[in-house]
Amino acid sequence: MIDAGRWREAIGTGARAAAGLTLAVPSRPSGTIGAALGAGRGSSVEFMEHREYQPGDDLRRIDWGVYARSDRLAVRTHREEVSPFLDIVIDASASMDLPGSGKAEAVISVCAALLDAARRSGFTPALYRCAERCEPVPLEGGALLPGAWRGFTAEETDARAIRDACSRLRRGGVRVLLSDMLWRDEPAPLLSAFARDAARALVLHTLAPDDLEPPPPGTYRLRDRETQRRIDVEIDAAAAARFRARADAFVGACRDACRRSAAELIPVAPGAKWTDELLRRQVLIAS
Amino acid sequence: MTLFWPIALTGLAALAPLAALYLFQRWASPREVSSLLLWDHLARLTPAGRRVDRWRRPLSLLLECAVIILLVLAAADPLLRVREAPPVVLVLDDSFSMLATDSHGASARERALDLVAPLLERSGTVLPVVAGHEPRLLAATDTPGLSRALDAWRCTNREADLHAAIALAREIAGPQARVLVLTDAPPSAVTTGVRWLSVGAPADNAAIVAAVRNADEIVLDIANFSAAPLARSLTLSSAGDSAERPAPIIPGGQTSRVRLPVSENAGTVRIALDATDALAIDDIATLAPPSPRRVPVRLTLREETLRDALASALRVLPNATLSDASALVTFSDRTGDARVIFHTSADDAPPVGYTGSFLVDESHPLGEGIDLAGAVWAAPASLAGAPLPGRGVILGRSTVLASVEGDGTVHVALDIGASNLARHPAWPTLIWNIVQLSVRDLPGPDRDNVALHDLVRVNIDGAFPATHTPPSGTGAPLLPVDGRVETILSELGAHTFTSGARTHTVGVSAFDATESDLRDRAPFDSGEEGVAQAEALGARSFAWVLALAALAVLVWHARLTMARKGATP
Repeated sequence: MIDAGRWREAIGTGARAAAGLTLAVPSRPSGTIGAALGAGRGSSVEFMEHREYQPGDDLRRIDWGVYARSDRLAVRTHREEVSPFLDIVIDASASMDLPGSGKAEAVISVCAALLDAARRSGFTPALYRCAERCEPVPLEGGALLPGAWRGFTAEETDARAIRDACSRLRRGGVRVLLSDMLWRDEPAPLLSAFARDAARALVLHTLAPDDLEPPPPGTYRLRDRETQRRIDVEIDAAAAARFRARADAFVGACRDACRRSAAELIPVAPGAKWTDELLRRQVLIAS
Repeated sequence: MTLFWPIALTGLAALAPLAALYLFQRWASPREVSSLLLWDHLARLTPAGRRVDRWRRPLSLLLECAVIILLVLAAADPLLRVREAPPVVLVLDDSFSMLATDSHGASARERALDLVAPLLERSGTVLPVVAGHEPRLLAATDTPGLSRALDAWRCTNREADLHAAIALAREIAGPQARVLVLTDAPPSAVTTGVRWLSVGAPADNAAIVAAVRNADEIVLDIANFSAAPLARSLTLSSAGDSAERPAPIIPGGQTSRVRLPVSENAGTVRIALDATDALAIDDIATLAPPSPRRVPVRLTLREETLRDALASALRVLPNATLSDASALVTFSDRTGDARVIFHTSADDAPPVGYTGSFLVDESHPLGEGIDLAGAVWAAPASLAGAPLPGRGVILGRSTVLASVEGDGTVHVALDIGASNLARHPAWPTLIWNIVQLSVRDLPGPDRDNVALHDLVRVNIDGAFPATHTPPSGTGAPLLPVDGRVETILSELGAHTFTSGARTHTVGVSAFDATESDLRDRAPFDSGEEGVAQAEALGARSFAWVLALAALAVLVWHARLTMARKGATP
């Protein structure tokens, strides 16, 4: 059952967080002529620079004022007009919706913020939900509607779903993967497929504090959110230290996998000021 | 330190199931995690088939055990003695109604002792005061010696002056002493600072409340202290013989008088009322045969007319007998060792006649019942110059006609020839009164049958050794003072007083309608609050400290438990 009310609040939070922010256009975007100004030369009306006349240049672009002042033939160049892509892939496995952790709400908020910022920047967004299979999520006016999100229900992160999503991603666009990366499969191949032909590949690593910190000392019967499997653990000082070491190693492995795949790993924690991190990493910029 | 409610310690039994719970149950808090990928390496392996595991989370178990122990100790109300406890004075009702038994056969005395035993165990010095017709202090003792001291609490008195005993207690033990009164009836007014504990209960009872034995008859008053009519029989026994006589039906709340013929030669008679009721002590009367109380009188008078008049009167009086050999009283007209001296005209002077008005001191035994109206009393004329010695009892005009000295010597001024006194109705009364003054000097007890704890005066005629043998059979020597012994008889039954060849018997019975009437008995406890009682014992309760400690441990345990709870579905 779609919990529209829950997602509406998260979408609102994301929209408020992204107010006044735009999505940074990558340095080598691809896309047809659009409303955004690319970094390269193009045919927009926005003057970029002068360069020396080369045979074959359009005579209409010769800046006769420069010639009059300097007896040097120079042509005016203008910035290109581009329409960049934003493709967001959300890992919709059940581990992304650990009760009480705020992970699911954080993912939707970040997604809504990116879509809002992308809309202001003239991006063409697309959103994909990877559960048992990859399915596109309909957007309206480039925004996510609460009723359109079907929740985090997959019993297990399916690598095939993510590969399927990667095959749908547009070349030269900005790609964002929202996941906790708690996958049984090796992340590197998936990340390589994700980052391939992307102008910028971002992995927003969404982990809750409970995912990285052990509970207080005691005996626990742990249940896997996705598989429902149970194990008994006893937490004491030594066990807590071993868990932290394992968690640190996991995060390090994710970072390494992203680096090898030319993707950027940005940690996103529920409740934290993730907009600051996105601004710092120039994913979002103030308009 | 002592515990006020030690029975609360049974709560410690809860520790066993608590420990078992921890031992037999894997107490693991459920917790949901995103994925077990980061946890698998910490999974515990439990050997199959084993159910009993080592205790998990010993801190939780220790905290819960600590809470139980602290709460149990707080409930037991431990008392810490902060100062020496003031003595406890036990005022013990010594009246025989305390022997009344309940439906379980326990007497009020026994019930009272059972009730105060726990209190006395926490006390220091205990001063028992037995309250009979007079209060009596038993030896002050600590609790172990108290049971021996209380053997002297027999409950054989006809009354218990509890207020006098309380006053004695305060005087002995001081104003700080705790006074505990054990009795069987509520007080008329609660005394401040005194705990009044009544263990009595209303009960039906029948009793012999009075008895008189004449020469050939016994007269009994039987009281029925119940609502239902009483139909019982009486068993008379004497010298091994017994006979049963039916008693009349006595309506509820009434007293009936029963007359039983008895042989003049019968010795001590024991009468038992066949009544199975709460109090048995008042169902028995012991009646000794009446002692002859005739004063042997010797007449040593020169005047024949006077002598004859006195002899005539003495012959008919029941309290006198003429005897020359062993006279106790001598009537004489000469001074000397006579007990009664008649003063007559020594010379030929005419006597003085007194026809009234006579003044008679009827408060004096000599003047009791004397009415001299119409009497002509002639006395020697010499009285005017030499009045009779002693206290004047009969006066004619202002002249003393009869007097009594301090040693009991009676003086009578009388010229019998010129008087009509010997023919007057007052004459035998006067002689009776004179003789009666000497009855108390007759050897033996002044009464043949008395009630329990009555004072008996026994005249010892000088023959030694004199002994008193109570019904229990252990005789004791008597030490008379001025030929007389005064003693309180506290044993029921026949007491024997032996002096030389003389043996006198006194019967003692529990005659007291107030004590036998158990209808108004009721339980009562003026009581004191537990804390105040503890403080009065010189101890302070610190149960509140333990309760606060238990609360602190509970809070700690709650924080520990909440910290362990993770995200649960």
